[in-house]
Amino acid sequence: MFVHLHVHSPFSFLDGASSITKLVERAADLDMPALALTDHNRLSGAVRFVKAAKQAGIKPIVGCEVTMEGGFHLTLLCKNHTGYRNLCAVLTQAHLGNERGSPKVDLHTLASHKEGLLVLSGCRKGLIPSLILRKRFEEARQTAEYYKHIFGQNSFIIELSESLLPGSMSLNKALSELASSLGLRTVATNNVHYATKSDFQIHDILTCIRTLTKLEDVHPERRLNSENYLKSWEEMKAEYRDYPEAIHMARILAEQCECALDLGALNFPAFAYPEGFRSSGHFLRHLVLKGAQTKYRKITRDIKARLEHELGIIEQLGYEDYFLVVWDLVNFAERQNIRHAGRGSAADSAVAYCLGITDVDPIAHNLLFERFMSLERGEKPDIDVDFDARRRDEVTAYVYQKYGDTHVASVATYNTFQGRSAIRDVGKAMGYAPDEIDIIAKRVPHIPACRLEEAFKSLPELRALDIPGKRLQTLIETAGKLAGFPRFLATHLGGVVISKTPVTWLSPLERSAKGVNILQFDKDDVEDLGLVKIDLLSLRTLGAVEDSLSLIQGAKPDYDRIPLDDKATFERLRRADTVGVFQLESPAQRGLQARLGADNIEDIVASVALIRPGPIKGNMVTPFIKRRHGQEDISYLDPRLEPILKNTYGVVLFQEQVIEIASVIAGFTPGEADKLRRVMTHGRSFEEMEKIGGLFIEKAVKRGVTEEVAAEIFNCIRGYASYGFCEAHARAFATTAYKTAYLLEHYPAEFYGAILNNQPMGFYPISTICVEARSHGVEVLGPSINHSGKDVVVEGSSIRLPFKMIKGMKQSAIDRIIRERAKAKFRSFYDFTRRVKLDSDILRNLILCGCFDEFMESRKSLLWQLKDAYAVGDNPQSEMLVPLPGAGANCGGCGPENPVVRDHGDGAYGTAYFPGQAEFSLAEKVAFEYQILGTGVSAHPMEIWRNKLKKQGFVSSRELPQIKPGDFVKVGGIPVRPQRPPTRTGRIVVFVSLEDEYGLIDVTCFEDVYAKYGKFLFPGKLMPLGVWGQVQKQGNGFSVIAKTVFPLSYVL
Amino acid sequence: MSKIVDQPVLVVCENGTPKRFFWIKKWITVKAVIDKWNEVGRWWEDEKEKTFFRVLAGEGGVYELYLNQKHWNLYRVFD
Repeated sequence: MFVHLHVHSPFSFLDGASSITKLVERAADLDMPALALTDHNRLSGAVRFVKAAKQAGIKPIVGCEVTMEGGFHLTLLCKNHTGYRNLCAVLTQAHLGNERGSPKVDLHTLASHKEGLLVLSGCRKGLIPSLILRKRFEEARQTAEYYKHIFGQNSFIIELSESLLPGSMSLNKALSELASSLGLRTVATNNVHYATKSDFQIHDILTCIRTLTKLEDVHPERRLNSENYLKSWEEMKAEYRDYPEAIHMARILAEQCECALDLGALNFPAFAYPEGFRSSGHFLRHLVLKGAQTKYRKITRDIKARLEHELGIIEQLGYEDYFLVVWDLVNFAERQNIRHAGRGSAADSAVAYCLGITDVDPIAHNLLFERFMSLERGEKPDIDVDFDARRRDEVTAYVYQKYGDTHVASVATYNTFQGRSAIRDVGKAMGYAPDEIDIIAKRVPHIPACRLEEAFKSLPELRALDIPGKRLQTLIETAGKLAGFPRFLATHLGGVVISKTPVTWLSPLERSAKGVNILQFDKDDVEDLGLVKIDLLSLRTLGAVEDSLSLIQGAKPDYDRIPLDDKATFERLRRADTVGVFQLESPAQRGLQARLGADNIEDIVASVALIRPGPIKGNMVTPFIKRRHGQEDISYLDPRLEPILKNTYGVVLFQEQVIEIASVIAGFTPGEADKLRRVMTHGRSFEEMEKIGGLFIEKAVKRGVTEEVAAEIFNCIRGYASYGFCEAHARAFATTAYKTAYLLEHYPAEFYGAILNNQPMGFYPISTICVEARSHGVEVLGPSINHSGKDVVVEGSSIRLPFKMIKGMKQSAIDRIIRERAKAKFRSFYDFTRRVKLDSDILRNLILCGCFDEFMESRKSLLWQLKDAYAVGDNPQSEMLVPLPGAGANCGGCGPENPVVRDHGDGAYGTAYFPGQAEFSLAEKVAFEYQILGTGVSAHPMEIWRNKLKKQGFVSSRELPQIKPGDFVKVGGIPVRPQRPPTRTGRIVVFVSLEDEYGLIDVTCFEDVYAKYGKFLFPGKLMPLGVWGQVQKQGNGFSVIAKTVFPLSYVL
Repeated sequence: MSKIVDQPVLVVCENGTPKRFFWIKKWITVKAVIDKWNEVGRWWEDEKEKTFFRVLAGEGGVYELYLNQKHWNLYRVFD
């Protein structure tokens, strides 16, 4: 029997080509009693590995192949918990003590943390083997002796790691002789990088990606052969036939190691409650009752019972401290005026509401606490809080300051290969030209890499690619095999953990790109480690709200008390005029708003939940709208369903409803009901769905429901399967949605300005927001050197684009401009360049986006002077002659025809005038503005083409509502966010908005049109489109059902 | 110094290890296998894995042979 003690998984990041599951399954198939995982310098795979190994019935041995100072490798294995803790400490030092991305273990640190660790001499990159390979035998012997002295004879083992590479035979012989001369043991490993021989090709591709080489290139990191797979005992025995003791030793060492990772034990700190309270539970109760008095004023018996019920469950599960920690964070945000809003299922909790964590009253809306927490499930609660994106870091800093650096860390996230990224990386390795890869990748929708083959067969824009079949097929197949492999480690958007013990007892730390310490595990893994994650999320919408309020001159509305029945706001929603409104701006949402006729907040709650894959696929949208308008009768399969579904017109819309139906109709326990919700919301297998459906029907029949009715009720909730919202979450989002619609309605300039300030956010690009602003009477002014600020400035009913929108602009440059301008306004381009030094690319961008237009000089002329302006800017003290355009070496020298301007050092150049320097054409100006600002300022491209298009019968978005529904029209514009959402029938429908100078035209392309014109809809580059199709009116909304799609350049 | 030959040769093996090979009109006996390794080559062009043997001949020379599927080649001769 053999055990592999040197194994890499994909968590060796581009150096492991088989999933942990596959490696473990292969080891189990080969009857191995144990398996080690030794990824490079990280333990990121450890939790998954331990779980998979336990499930497969084999012993997991946690380890790591570390890089020592000098770049040499050592293989470390944890014998026990102490070894694991020491390994975490060693890796933390290696990461935090060295440049980011180049961890190095220093021998002294390792020596002082050797307890509980077995040290193997490593692969060919180990110091001892590499010395032997260089024939420095004496140094190798001295090193081995030194390691033996440091780690001890029993803990330092000579590793024979490979057998079929050039030089292996003599290397293994020398290593074996060295071991025996020093009384050390030898162990055979295979430096495993993939499970089976056939996985070598994936490993080779990954190596090319890692080393930025192509398959055709030679690189020392690429393996010479495909021998690094998980070989059987027989294969290992044959290859190490001269070293049977090394084969035997693998088993002996495996027996010395126990599973070093404890999963599941809760590791959350006790909250330091104030004096006068007996316990954290006592303090929590006090805060909740105090909060309840403020929120409810009169605490009725029902409210008290609900709070007691929730507190009881929280106490029984031991999460009082968790609630207090979150309360403390929110309280801090409140004190610092950091805008925040709770989201997710926490809004099902009256305790969270009373603590001020969430804004939704779950008692008033009859929300189920069991959706959030239940004794039966006993799971950790998950409270998510959104903070103003720009100030979220202040909250995080507070956590670090309060609980200490050693007890707080950010959660990592594994950036995995998706369809596009896999195509890009594999394409590069295969030698595709950059342009070719770009076109392919941009046509690939956002799908997992494992669905690439299917996409390339079914999507017309991918079928239309002109690439030789076999080459493309290899690309697709190889990219597909990378599905789900981690590409690199990044920081989770908002997840932090606070632990009772130092976090480094559970995970090594490393530094993120932003400089914060992150764990080596993701959100799921940290929970398995017993850590509780708190999500401190950043939501740009909250930043936009804050900005809107600060931009409003004079009396500002009280955001927290915005009336929820504002007629004008609901009228806006009914017009589907919602671009910029949180959650309600997508074409599908605008389409819904045009039909729904929202007139109260409940309609918005329903809207948020309706435009989700579950309700759409379950065909619930149209019945909901019809019933909302009384055009369809509401009937219930069982009278007991009425109180549950009454508010949603008999339609199952929320997860809470599913749970309630299951408990009322089938008598499901909370745990069973939650399992049902999980099976449905996580798109589990058909078998799981059938199984729980069977249980539902069986239990319902026992409670007197006929089998037919029970089956039909289950079908109704099954139709809802996958991706439904919980009502609490929908309510939390709906409140923000309504309030942003209110701000848009009453303070459009400020709100549009705030959206631009907080880019990127929302569904639409900057250009669409600017078009929308203009079409709502808000003039969008281009950036100005004397009037723009870092952020958008509101000038009456106009907004002025800020410096920060200019491509390449840095904060330091903005600060210099504003500081200098505060002394005196800039009087000319030359005055500016004399006083503010900027690099030429930024200055060029300032010119081309019109920052100096107020000086009445043409942009072309300023661009011409750019180089010479620099001569002045660089020597502000000197008097010098500045050649005008047409002068100098480039233009034939100075003379009477080529005048010069004399600078007296006071900036008094006045407005230079350069006759003969024509301005750019409008089209050129707009093209530069798009390049630099992301939007046109001088005009919209469609405005330039409008006359030509008009002559050909094209109608604009402004004219579309005047066309009779059913008539055929030609429309054109810049396509915005084409989408292929899931549909009830499973057929592909593409929704795309065409942006013109007045707004958006929503276009629907059904499968036949998409099949023909998909290559234009998803061309992989920006391409203005024309559409010929039929006008459709639904509710208050107009759209075009496309019959033909074509590049607009065909008609221009 | 060595010379790349890369010519097909007849090889007689024992337990998968070359024992003698026929080169320039005579049989050369393998005294010892000095080294053995595998090489994948250009797998993306469907090239198959080869097994290389560096052998010491009875007469004293050093040769590199490889097995490609079922065919043997003499790859290199060392001075």
